[in-house]
Amino acid sequence: MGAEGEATSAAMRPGNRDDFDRLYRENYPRLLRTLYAITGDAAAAEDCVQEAFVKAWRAWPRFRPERAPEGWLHQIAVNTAISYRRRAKLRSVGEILRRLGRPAAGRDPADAATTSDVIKALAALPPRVAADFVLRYHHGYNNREIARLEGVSERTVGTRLAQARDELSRRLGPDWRGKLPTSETEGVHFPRGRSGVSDA
Amino acid sequence: MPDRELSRHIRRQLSAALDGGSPLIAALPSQARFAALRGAMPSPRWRLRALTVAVAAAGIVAVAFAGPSQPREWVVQSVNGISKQVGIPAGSATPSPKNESSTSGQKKPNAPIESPEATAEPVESPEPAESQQPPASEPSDESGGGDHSPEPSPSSGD
Repeated sequence: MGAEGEATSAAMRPGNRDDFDRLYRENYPRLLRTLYAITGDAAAAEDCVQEAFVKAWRAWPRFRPERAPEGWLHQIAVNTAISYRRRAKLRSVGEILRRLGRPAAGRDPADAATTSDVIKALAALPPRVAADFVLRYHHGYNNREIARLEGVSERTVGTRLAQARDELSRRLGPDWRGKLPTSETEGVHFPRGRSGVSDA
Repeated sequence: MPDRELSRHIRRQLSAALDGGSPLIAALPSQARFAALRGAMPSPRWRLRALTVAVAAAGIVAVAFAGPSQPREWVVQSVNGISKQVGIPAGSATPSPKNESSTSGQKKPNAPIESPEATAEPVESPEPAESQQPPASEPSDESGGGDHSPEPSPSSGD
């Protein structure tokens, strides 16, 4: 995977339409899942991913080829989702202020039906913590790959994952705290939609 | 610090939650939102070409309107010369307002236009010289002029 990822990154030509289309096809599913975990809303996640690709397309002619394009896209997408969450929080505060004094509105049944408790718990995490958790336990990246993707240290990734497990176990149950790797669980990966990140 | 692993059951639960809520199939790149920007954002080569054309156009406009005024006296002189040759008084021709304004510092605005008779120059007259001279008014002091006359004088003939 690593060699393939390096070849993909090396072949990218800044400003080239075909290469950007390839980036879009290869990274869209991963980014969508990650942003879904951050925003907690499928429509918002799709909107943020599209917005992130618009930003990336504008910056594509200035992209530096020595950088991994998947990591570059990941940063843009996570930042877009963080901005969305800030705006959503401001909207909710404004909504609370408007409804002050009125009877509290009940929960939207449609919202309850579509958003699971897992998604709600993930969306309650800090955005980068949620993103790392999804990359690690859903997309199957290891800590080193996540660190390379985000341009942070492995230690930072480990800290974020521990924070996510603690918070999720508090909300969803002790099973979400995880177990120390044993010979039985070690090496279990769920590679889905991984592309472009080398484990050098 | 050793990294903890989630059990298969929890991973499956996580994947079900993520896959169930978000659509798996991505839109085609041509249907993506960024595809609408492709027409609006020209390539660097086209941008450079457009910039060159814009600079050239601005230069032409600057030279045409902001440069030194072109002297047009030669046009008026040529028209006057032709009108004299044809026989039309040049006063009927009106110079262009620009010419008037350009020469206003040298001439009076209401000064009459010089007639061809007043400024008649021998070289520009299209008529032959002998047709303008009345034969009776010429004195006979030119002794040699009789040889050139087409008709001999009656006194010299007898």
